[in-house]
Parts: sequence; structure tokens; C-alpha cells
Amino acid sequence: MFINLNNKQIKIAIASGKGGTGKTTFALNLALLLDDDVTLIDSDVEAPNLHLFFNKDIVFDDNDILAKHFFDRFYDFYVKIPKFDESKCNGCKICKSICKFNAITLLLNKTVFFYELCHYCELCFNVCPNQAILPENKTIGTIYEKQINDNLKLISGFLKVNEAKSSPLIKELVNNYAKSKITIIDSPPGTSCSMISAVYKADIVILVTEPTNFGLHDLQLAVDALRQLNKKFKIVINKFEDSYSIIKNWCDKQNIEIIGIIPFNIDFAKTYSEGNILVYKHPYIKELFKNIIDKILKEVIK
Amino acid sequence: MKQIAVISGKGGTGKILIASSLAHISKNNILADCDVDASNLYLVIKPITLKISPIPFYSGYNAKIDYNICLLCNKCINACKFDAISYDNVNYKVNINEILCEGCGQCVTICPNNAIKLVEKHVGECYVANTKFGTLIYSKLNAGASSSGKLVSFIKKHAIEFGKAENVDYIILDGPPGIGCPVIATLNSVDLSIVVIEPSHSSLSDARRAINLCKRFNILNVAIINKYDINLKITDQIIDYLNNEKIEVICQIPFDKEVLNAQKNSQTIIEHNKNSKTASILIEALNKIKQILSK
Repeated sequence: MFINLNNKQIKIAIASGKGGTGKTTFALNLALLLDDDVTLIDSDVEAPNLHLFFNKDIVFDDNDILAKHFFDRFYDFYVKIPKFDESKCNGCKICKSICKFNAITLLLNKTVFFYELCHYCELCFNVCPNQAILPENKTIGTIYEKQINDNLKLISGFLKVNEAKSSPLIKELVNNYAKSKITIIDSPPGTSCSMISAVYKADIVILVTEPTNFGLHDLQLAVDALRQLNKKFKIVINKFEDSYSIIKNWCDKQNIEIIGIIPFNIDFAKTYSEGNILVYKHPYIKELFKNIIDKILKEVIK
Repeated sequence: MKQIAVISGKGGTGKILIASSLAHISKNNILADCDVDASNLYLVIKPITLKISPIPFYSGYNAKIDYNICLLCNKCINACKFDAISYDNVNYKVNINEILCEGCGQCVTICPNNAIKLVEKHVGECYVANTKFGTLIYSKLNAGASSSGKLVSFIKKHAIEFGKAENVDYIILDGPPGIGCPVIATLNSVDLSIVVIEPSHSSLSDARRAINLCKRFNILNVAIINKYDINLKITDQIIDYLNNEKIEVICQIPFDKEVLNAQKNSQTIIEHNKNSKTASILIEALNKIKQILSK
């Protein structure tokens, strides 16, 4: 499917609010159907899943050995944290006062650094009058790349287990790995900083929801966040059974457009569970997705 | 007083189902919704009255510009590491986006005219409610908030205080998805974690990461396989993995439409239909957990 964007590059983020609504399924099938110069970014770095649909046996142990066989290349991602030279410290506490996250304190004239509180703002590097603070690299995750076929590239971000903050890795992915005509970003669930980092550079956000009270509740939070970011967004309802009025009634009141409705089907759940592709196994879903793609493209070209 | 966390790695596997059922069965507990990004537990475990006024939660700062003295020099826009500052060419002013601003103070320092200051960021509210199934502690977090880990710690702190005052047996923590800071905060000092897994490659992969995290904290894990009959082959793979890790599978729940019906009616599955497959399996399994914890 060749898409004419007049040399524009677009980023489409797939988000939700509630977990388990079908973001990954949607992002994956969208990317495969587009069949054009597409980068698919797995920015759910705490629990990435997209790679599993291209190789089911893949397991990432602590040494990442099996991962390296599947992917074409990988890059460690690091942040900069302060390293304190105690021999130069005169206990002036300027570093403690500059850090708004309370990550630096002084106890008995020795600096104590709370890594878990550090937001990597790097302000402390330049404030010490004795140059006792230097930047140090800390690897918090890895970025993996794989050319799936001539058109589609997969970029997967993996946050190291026990690392608390995913935002810096997610921002790195969306800022520096979206090089294709079309980039699709599979975002993390929730509505806080990880999701924000995944969507904040997107040209449009597709919110995938389910027609339940949990789905609506979290959709409202997600919409609130996107409005504060001034993002274009549309809704896709997944797992529709007898009624989606719970979502539609709210969307109508809010003047929010629903661009697609995917029915609940136990066979779809089975296909997903096996790591297979919906639009290949269930061709009638292809038409539904193509319809959704048309609407998304019309919106971004506007 | 024992702390039980319900986690999964992957979203949508059924943590609320397990946490709400556990609260229903155990008579003497505090229930805490640690999934602060998308706090849904109160939709099932309905608050009847609030025990205390909502507690506002402040964390960190937001930078604010005094537009009377802003020189429009753009220094702050270039200095911001978090892409939070931009020029708004509709309203003709420099705009600091509250969601993206992390309150580091870089722009405050760099502004040549002292036009920017930091104000405390109101991140959300914490509620302590009476419910049919014990005290429920939950929160409403403002959209885009970046202190979810801290809010979870705040919620846990109150859960433990109320737990001690009410002399409860259990603190039940409904955990967030993922393995980042809110999950780590949830798992702090937990006695047992229940990992909820559905039979998909995705869920198994994510559960492995979550279990890896628990191991680093030396937490005892048990597992529940939810919607197991969607894929028996993968359920078997999950059981193999768990056996290798010496993690007990305390039950397997089949896909059951009654679960969704209960949720639609804002009831626990046991309230909605205690004779349903899910309810009977859970009642037995969760009593097993009590035995494990009393050892």
C-alpha cells in the first residue's frame, strides 16, 4: 500500500490508558498492513512484546544472549548521573540545594546520592565550586533493531529489570529512531510519564479502548492528558460484543471521533496468544483495518 | 500484618479480579490501589464513606513564568532538557507545559530576568474510604504526573498506618502493570506477590520480567493463570516455566464471561455470582494463600 504523504514524515502513537485493550495488536497489524516505509517502535520498555510476533522463542535473559541472535544490531542506552570526588568536597551543600529531587544530601560531610530519586537533569555537574562532581554514564537499557522485511523495521526498547524510570529510554526511541516515512509507536499503558514520553512527539494518537467501565474510566484520563499536550487523537474500540454505548455516549458528548470498532472474538484472542498476526489469520479484519488506516491518513494529511 | 501484592507485568491479565476477590474473602484487611496511573479498583470495591478528607499529594515542582517580566529571549526554551518549553505563536508567549516540566530548575537559573519560579506541583489526591470489604486506599492522579512511584509509597504508608490502627491481618495491594517505579514501590516490604498470567507469549514474557524483579527483592511468589483455556499449549509452557522457578500455581481460571458481568455491575465476582466457576476457584485458591502466609 503506497501512501503519498508529499514527503512528510508522520508519527502515529498507539496508547490507551487501560492495559490489555489491544495496543500492541493494533500497532502491529497496522504496521504490517501499511506495507510501506514503516518503523515500528516498541516503547513499552518495561514489558516489550512486539518482537514476540516475529520470533516466538525469543527470551531475554540477563545476558541478552538470545536477543542478540534475533536482532540485527543493538545499542546500550545510558543516562548521565553524578559521580562525587570526596577528596574535593568541602561540604558547602550547593549540590544539595540545586537538586530539586532531593537526590543529593550530605551526611557527616560526605555526599550521599540517592540514585532512585535522580531525574537525570544534569544540573549538579556544573555547580560544584571545587569541581567535585563529574558525569558518569549509567546504562539503563538496550535498544534493539531488526529489519523485518524491505519495508518494515522494528525497534524494541528494553529497560533493565530493577531500573525505575522508563522515560529517558522512551524519549530516546521516539526522538532518535523515528526515521521512516511512517513511524508507529506502541506506547506503554497508563497515563503518567511513560505514556507521555511515548506520545508527546506524535502527529496523531490512536487511543485503543474496550467498551467497559474500566475502559471508559482510563480513556477519560488518557484524553485529559492528550488535551493538555494538544495532541490530535482518535478512538478505536476493541473487543466489542453487544454494545459500545458506554464509550460512544461519552465520545459524542466530548465531540471525539471513533474511527474503528473491532469485534470481540475468542479466535482473535487465540491468534494473539500464539503470537500470530490477526490480519493474516482473519482476512475480514484486514478490511476493517484498511478503513481505519484511511481515516488516520486523512487526518494527518489535513 | 502481612502485605500481599498482585502484579503481572502485562496489563489486562486480571489483577483487579484477584485483588478484589482477596479483599472479599479475607475479613480483616486494608485494600490499597497502587495502580495510580489508572486507578480502577474503586469501581468494583465501592467507597461508601470517606474516613478522612482527601489528602492532597504534592511532589516536585513546576516552573512558572511571570509574563510581566519575560524578555522573550528564548534562553529557557533552548535550556530545557525535557522539551517542556516552547513558543506559543497563537497566544504570542513562551509556554511551559505542566505535564512535560519536571521541575528541575534549569530555566529558573538561566533566565536573565528572574522571570521564572518553581511552584509546588499538585500531583493528585489520596482517598481513604470505608467499603463493604474493608478500608480502601486509592488515589486520583493528575494526567501526565511523573511521581507515580512516590504516590504509591504515600499510599502504602497510609495503608500501613490504618492497618496497624485497625489491627488487620492483611494489606492487599493491587499493583500496576510494568516493572518500573510504581511497581518497585508497590513491592517494597511485601511478604507475598501473586503474579497473574494469561496464556499468551506476551504475558509470559512480561511475567518473567516481573518475577525477575521480585527475585531481586527476595519476595515469595505464587502464580495464577487466568483465562487459561484460551490456549492450553501456552498454559502448559507457563506451568513448565513456573515449575522450573519453583513458583506454585495456586489456581487456573477459565475464560469466564461472568467476570465481565460482575465488573459491569460494580461487584466482585463472588458478590455477583459466588457459584460461578471463577468465584469457586478463587475462594479455594485464596484460602490456600492464607495458609501459605500463616507458615
